[in-house]
Amino acid sequence: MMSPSLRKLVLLTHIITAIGWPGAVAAFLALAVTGLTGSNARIVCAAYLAMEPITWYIIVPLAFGSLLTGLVLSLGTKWGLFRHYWVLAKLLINALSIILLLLHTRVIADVATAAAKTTLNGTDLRGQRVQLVAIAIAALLALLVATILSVYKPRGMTPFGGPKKILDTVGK
Amino acid sequence: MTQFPSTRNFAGVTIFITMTLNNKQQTPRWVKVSGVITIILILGLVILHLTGHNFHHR
Repeated sequence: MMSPSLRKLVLLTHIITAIGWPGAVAAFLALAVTGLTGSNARIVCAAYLAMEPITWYIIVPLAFGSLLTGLVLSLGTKWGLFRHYWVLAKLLINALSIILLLLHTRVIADVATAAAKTTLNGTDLRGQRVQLVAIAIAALLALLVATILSVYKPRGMTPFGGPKKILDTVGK
Repeated sequence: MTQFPSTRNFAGVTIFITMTLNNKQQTPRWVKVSGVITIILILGLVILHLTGHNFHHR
């Protein structure tokens, strides 16, 4: 178990990263929508060019920071990693979001490269540009669910953290 | 159902644990609903990709 001061420090870092992550994704979504619907070619290109640094320097570090601090917090406190369904659900949302994020960095790079080379009109790379909006909305919804789980902490213990496990622990 | 006798006495804790153990442990409804929604979403995405309705057409 962690000391109270260390636990607070890790909790603070976890809150900052876990709340900063959807904030950064919301900014990404604004750029993706601007790029898809904008009529000014220079603004459209600027939006797509800004996506890559935002992804690599803000979203990816916040995502990994949230995952790591979440792991430390759960393993270092009474909550555990597999004891409560809400902790497990948050872990799955976090891990899946990171996997999807890393899978889609190629699409982000492709659109940014195209925007740097030429002026994108309404139909250029339309599929990828729609995909950027779609993944940003999906990520935002998933992270919203994770935040709701953190606040409400719905009841329910997994077979790994049920009362039998507690009895075993108490008996030791 | 298996009955768990209170073999350890820790001022009320044993009573609570024994009562909880003797109740049937069920998966909460919110976990079941979330699981079903997740499976539907994944199936939907797989079907979209298999039928060629993905985002990569230009």
